[in-house]
Amino acid sequence: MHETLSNLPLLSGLPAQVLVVLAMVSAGGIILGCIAVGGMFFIWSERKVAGYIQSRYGPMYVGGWHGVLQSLADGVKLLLKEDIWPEKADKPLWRMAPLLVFLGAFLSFVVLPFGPNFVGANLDIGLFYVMATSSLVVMGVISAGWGSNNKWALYGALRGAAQVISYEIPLGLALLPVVMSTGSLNLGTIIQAQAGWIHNWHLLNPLFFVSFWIYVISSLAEVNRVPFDLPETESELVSGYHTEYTGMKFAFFFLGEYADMFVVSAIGVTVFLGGWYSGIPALDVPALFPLIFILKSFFLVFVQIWLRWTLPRLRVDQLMYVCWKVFIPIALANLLLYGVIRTVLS
Amino acid sequence: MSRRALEHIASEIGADVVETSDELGDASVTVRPSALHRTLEFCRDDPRLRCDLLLDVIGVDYPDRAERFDVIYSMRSLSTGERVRVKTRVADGEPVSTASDLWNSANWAEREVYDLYGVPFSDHPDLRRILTHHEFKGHALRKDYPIEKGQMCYVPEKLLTDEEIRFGPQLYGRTMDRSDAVVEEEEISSDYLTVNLGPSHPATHGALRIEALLDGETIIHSKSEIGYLHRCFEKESEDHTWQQIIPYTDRLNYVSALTNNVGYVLAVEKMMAIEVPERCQTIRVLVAELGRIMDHLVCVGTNLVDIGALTNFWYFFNAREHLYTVVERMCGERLTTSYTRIGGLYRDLYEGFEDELRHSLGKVEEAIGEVTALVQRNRIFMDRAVGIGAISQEDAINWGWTGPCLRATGVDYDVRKASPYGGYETYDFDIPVGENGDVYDRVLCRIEEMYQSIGIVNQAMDRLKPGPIFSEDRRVTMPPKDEVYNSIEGMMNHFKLVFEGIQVPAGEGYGFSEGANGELGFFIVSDGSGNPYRIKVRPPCFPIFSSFTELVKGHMVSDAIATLGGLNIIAGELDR
Amino acid sequence: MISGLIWFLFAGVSVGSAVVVATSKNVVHCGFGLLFTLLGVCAMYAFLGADFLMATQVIVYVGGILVLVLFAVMMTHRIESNRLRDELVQPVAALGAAALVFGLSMLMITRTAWDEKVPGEALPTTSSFGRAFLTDYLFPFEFASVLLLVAMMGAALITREKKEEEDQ
Repeated sequence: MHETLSNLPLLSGLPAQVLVVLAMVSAGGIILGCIAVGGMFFIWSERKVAGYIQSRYGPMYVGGWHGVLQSLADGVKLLLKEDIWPEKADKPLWRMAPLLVFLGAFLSFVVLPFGPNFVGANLDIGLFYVMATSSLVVMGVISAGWGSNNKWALYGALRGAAQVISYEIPLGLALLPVVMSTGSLNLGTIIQAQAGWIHNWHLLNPLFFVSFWIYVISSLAEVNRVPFDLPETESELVSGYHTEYTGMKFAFFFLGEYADMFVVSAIGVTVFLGGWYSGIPALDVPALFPLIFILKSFFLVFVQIWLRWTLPRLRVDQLMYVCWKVFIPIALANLLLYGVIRTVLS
Repeated sequence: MSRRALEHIASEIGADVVETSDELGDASVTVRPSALHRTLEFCRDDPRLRCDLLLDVIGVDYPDRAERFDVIYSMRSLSTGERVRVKTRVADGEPVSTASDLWNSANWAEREVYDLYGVPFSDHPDLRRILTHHEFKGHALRKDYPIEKGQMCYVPEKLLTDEEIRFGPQLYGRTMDRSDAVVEEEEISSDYLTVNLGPSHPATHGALRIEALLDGETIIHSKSEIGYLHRCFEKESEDHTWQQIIPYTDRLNYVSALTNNVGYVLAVEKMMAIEVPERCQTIRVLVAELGRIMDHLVCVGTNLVDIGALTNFWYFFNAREHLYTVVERMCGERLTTSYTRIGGLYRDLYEGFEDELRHSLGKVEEAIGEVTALVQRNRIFMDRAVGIGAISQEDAINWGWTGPCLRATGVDYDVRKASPYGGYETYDFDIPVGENGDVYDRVLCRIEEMYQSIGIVNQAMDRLKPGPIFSEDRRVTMPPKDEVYNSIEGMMNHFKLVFEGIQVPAGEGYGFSEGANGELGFFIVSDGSGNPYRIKVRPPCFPIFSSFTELVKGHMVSDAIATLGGLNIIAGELDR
Repeated sequence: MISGLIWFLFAGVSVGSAVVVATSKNVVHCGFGLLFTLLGVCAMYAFLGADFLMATQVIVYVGGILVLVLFAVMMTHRIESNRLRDELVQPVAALGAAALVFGLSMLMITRTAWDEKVPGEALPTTSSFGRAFLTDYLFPFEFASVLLLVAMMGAALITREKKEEEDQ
């Protein structure tokens, strides 16, 4: 990216090292902006979709048309709110938690492939990298739960950590058949394997189809959404691990959560739904790629929102049961079956 | 019937019976304190009486008497339909032998008498204050406790004792490594975590507190504390005229105020033997059922929210909003309706009421249909609700359960059928019952009851004919204006009613109706003046909530919350 | 120069948080100190072009082991009051052990003939890892897997036995 910057007339005189720093800062800024704007958009759309499902309006006033700027107003409100902290909180951990959660989401955004040349960092281990960054979110949740010095928050943190590390297993296992098929962890390569007509999408391969559903359900657990919202469970744990947070710290949790929703959806789109390809070769012009990718990801985010306002939530033991006794065996069998078929066919 | 019951008791107890009465159709027997336990046991076990449901324990204070307090056990038989009150008189400080070994429901009910009157109960397992704060001094319902006297109490009560926290599992039949359980640095050491659910917790829907001892997420022991919403309904009643109490009844079960209004006036009218005109009766049935529908909408909606299904709540609250619009036009208020009057109603229905109500009921049915579709066969909901918080029929009766929660266990006890009042015998409706008495059955029972109530409302609307809505009885009804202005009798009548209020003849009686949560009873003692001498409410959710500790033992926190929502604990009614 | 600065930044983070791990008396703080040490090391891997190793480091050590460690710490009874003791013997012994390890590492580092590589475009390493695991190093790889499996079964067995005792 710094080469691009050096071609700009204004900056051409600057030394290369300054340009590198500039490039880094601006790339980070762009991603941060994407997360902030995207997160606010998702919060707004969640409220509108929830309103629609529940036969009410949702936000209607701020920003004129259907309250589009409601999230911005809420953001400003959260910024101006008093930052309250529990007297006996473990201050360093308590302060660090929202940053860790947000950092996890932020780092995942870096590798999302919006288009063949429109990706923050085209890592060879893209998929693996995304899985790794979610560990930071777990640490953030634990840190929040412990730092708050609140029993409900601690319960939320324990539930959250147990849930996320458990569901990472079926999540990873569900992705493996596709990785075996494409022979790469690079997100771009996985998408390119699905070029052409829609039947090339991994979703339409029967075994990958099973994987896709395991992935979608596990990803709900990964981002703590209903029916797996046990770390928050408003009616049980008051608000779970972020009970004690106010103002901007709370906003970071919130934004991180919605950014994570987008990340898991984008990975789902990348791996199973043909990424930036539309499924009709005539429409696959590079200019449309980011749009197609984002629209598909929005659709998966919409599904998550839709489920949240439809289903009740599971109990913590049922959640673990579903993970260890249903999804992991199915995902393992699926993986084995795919391996066998592939070996036999080749 | 009650006469025969009295004969049975008299022949069994013999000389210890002080006096008997069958005023207003309820058998009432007064025995010496020493014979109380024996009498109660006889009433419970005798095959001719079989009073298996202990409704309430009531205290009454007569400061001028040597045996100052009446302690009254009010019972009912589900099989024979017998209603019996056993009364005993004790002096200040004289202990009464507890009945909590006979009925679990006696536990909390006796605590209440102890709390408010200071009557001690011997052998009671857990005799603590219940409605007032543990630092409260004196006993609030004694006649010599001044009504204006407030007290400031600060220190919250510690519910679980150190002993329970340390050895909780042993007390409750589980083993544990004792070596850990030592006192270090004056702190209690335990493998278990205590948490406070409430008084302000999203799942308590009102102010109540549960202190639970958790092993992981499993509740191994818990205790509940109520009284956060105690607004001295009973004390206030003694200071007001009979009509003035009606607004207070709104605030008992504030979710179905209309049903409470009807229940209260029925009880007073029973004492006075007043017949109300047919139109008034029909409207009362109608509004009572509206109250029931609204109550069930709230209960089921919030119960589902506790389980995580938020949208149902909005479907039900939208429907309730339609009903509220009708109620608001009917009586000018949405929540605190105060619609009934002793001897009649506040005012007649407005023009166009029926059309609007039919429209609203259509919306309610639509909402029920939508919610049923969302949850009835929903796998997650069934996993969360089937078999959770289950209770057997015997236990439920023993704990004094009534209403939808009891019916969910399969007992078809409904006051509207068992002892019909206000013309319910002429309506065509069924009593839905469940099988397992779990959260799932409770939800479905309430949903079906709403359909039945809609049916009753429709029948009531069909038979609404123009006519008077107030009784002709001059003891309760203002005379017409021309009588007031033109005759001395009318003038006197008006003057008396305004200045002294309604005079209920001296005596005592128990008026009861089917509230939204179960049997809503008003035990009334009148001394013939314009104010009640004593009103004791029998709130249906008080005995239900007393069993909560047993209900959730061994369940997980999430289950406890699902159970709590399904019991429909309304703090206003619970604490009064 | 910039990359050098960043390198020192990450190295500083690793060493600094390692000091926190060693000196903090709060067990939970030690755990979180370890998090930053591991992340710093992870950045070192990135500088070396070992991308797969980097992600594995995060998944296994941060997402797995560290979470479990913190879990155990948080579930331990009254962890807050269990301050780590600091008697004189322990620092001395620890210093001795640390000096020994440091010396051995230095010895190895100076004695080894390192491949000198110009840091530039890092080449993908994942596929070579995969090949190596399933060909040359198949036996150790499988052996480690079986070992972990046995450990897991053992853990399950121990917890189950305890539960049965409770039921009796």
